[in-house]
Amino acid sequence: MSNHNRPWTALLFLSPAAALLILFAYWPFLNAIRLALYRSDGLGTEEFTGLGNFQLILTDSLFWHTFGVLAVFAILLIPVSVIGPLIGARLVHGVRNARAASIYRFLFVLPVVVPMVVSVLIWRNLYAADGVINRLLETVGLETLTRAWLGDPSTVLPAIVFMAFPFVGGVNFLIYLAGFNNIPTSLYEAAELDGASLRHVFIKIELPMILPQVRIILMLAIIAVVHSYEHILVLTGGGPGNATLVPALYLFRHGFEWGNLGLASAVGCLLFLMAVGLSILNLKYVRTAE
Amino acid sequence: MRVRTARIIAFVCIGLVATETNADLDEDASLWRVEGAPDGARITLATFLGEMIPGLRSVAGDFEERTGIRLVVQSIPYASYALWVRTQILSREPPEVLLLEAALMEQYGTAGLLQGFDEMIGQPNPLRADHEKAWEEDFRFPLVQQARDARGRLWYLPFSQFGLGFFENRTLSESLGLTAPQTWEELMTNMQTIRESGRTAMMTAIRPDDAQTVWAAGMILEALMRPLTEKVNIDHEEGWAFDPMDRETTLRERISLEERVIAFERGLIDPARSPEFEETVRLMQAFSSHWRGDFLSLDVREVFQTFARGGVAYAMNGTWYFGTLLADLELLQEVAPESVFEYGTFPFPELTAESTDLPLAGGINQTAGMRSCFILPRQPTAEWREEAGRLLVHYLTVPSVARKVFANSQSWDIPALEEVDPRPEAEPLLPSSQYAFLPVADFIGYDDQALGEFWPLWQDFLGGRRTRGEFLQRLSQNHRRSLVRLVFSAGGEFDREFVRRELGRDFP
Repeated sequence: MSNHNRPWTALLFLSPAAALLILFAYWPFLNAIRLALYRSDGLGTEEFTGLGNFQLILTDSLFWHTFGVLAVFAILLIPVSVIGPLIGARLVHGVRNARAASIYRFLFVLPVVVPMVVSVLIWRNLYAADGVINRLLETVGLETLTRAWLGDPSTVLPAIVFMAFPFVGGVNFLIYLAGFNNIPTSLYEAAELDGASLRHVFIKIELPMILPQVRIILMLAIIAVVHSYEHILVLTGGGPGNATLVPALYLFRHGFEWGNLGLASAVGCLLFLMAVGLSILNLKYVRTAE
Repeated sequence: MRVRTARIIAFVCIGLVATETNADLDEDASLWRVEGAPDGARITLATFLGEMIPGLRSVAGDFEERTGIRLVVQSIPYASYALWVRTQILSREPPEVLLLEAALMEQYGTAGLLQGFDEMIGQPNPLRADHEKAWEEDFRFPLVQQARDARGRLWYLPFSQFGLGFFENRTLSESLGLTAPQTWEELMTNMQTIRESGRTAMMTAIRPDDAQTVWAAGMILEALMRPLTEKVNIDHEEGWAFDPMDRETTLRERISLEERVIAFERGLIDPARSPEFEETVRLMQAFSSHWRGDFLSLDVREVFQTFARGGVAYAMNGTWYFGTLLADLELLQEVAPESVFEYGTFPFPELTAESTDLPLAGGINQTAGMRSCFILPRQPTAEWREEAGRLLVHYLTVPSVARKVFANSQSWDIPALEEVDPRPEAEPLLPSSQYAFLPVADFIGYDDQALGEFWPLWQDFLGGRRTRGEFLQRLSQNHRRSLVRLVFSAGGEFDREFVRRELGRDFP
């Protein structure tokens, strides 16, 4: 085949994937932007309202409340999502025995195969009033620490964050591990020759070398925190009160329970802008650090 | 009642009913034909009520024989059923009949995607051999009235009702010298006595799918609002007068959206200004003081398990709980027979002049509400499907057929049809509706969004994070917003002139 035909060949092979991407990713996204300008129940009725939906959202105290909840989640969850796997990956990277390292790698990644809903349901039972956690506390004589973990607004947010315990595994762990494995051994040898301590090696060599991974994971963590709601929907439904109502769940409610698809689309647009803005800041800041 | 005795009685009754013939069905073949239905036609009835499926399938063969249309009874999961229904309706080929709970379905009626029952309900059921009374009169009072939406339209046809009452640990009650309370004061006194003995008086959950407390509040509010019926129902038949002791006086009346708006703006049904709402909330707040304190984190399974283990004296629940309770007690009999207790049931207690300073016109209507209902989605691709759906619903609500369905089901809920008896265990919770009923006000609000906004508010209030005043104020705002939304969606159908005449201004 001549070089002249290659672009067309590539286009031919890419077109099915592109078509699917347009149909299932870009088209819904663009349609959501359009819907945000309409009052729509998603059942056929549409009425152009311009920025009316945005005005409704921005004057809804519940919407701002959801951002408060999101802020708490972000403060608790993002650091552990970024730092926890880093620690896990560094520990496994430091294991000299290849077989042992392989076993640890497998164990740290294994939880990823458990469906999220299954994990959430197990935690729901653990957190139940008569659940394992409270029973354990009673058994060791710590009855005063027993709580209605998911029924008390002061404990429900940390309880949800704690579901990711021990915070060290998963896909982020693999990303970091790949980063550590890509650090040239010559750097380690040079550091050893210079008499650098483990702490110096980590801070001066390893951390700067894995900053691209940190940037990616931070961006993924931000997007995940902004967008995710499924585990909250299953676990608490946004309660007690609205203590765990995050913006994405607020969007889901309006769109699929209350018939306000236009308003839900407007929320989606705002969340998209937020995620993009934070990602840009992340890219700028981490690049500067690099 | 001992578990084994109850089961024997139930099985005998089921056996008797299962052998009954359909003497009340009209055998005129022309009534059973669906015009336009092709050969080999098939329709679907979808439900998440798994306990009803055996009963529905038991009559599917008879339906097919009579109509030539095969009936497929489809089971759908309860979790996220509202989303499933949405996708089905948007597909333009939804199941011909849905048998569900009514929550979150109203938006489809408003959007013109459901067949309404308004015209059909006033006519006799054409499949009944005796074409005398209106279809509405076949149903237990006041289910059809309760099934109407805030604009008075009927999108749902009741098929079963839940009786709300109390399941009690009778062994414990008797050991404390307590009898089943008849009145609100007796209930409060009993619960206080139980708590003073060191036991848990009552457990309940407060969640959208554990709505017992809201049903209780709804029954209390309805009783307190009854004296205001004539002030709310201002657009009525010539010569109409309300008699709270005569349920016939409200059978043909509807509360329209316009009347509801006028009543709200006048403060009659505005939670922030209505003494009846405040009293309802006060009574529920007093009630909640006797509940186990972790009610915000509980779900109904934990309540069931704790009650079955004898860990709590009372559990407020509906008739569907019988199935679970009897199964739990049977299991307990096998593994820990020393823990088995005698259980009992009693209905929701009466309000009296001691319970409240507000005037009463009769007492509590034991009408917790509709459990399952038929919904008829429109079938834009084939009109015969709509007709077949209607035919199926008419068929299933002929008493002999409904009797067979319930006899072959594992449901303890009360059949919505007057002529179909409930299971013996459920009889103590059979609603003893004695008083005229018109849904003057709704405790939760008037549309699906109001329902969604209500629950966090209710949880916050009962959890002590909002005062009564704050709760009522927020509830008022939610109610008003829901009325505004309904007015907008009604468009030209909303009689603005009438509202302007009554209020002297526009709404909103």
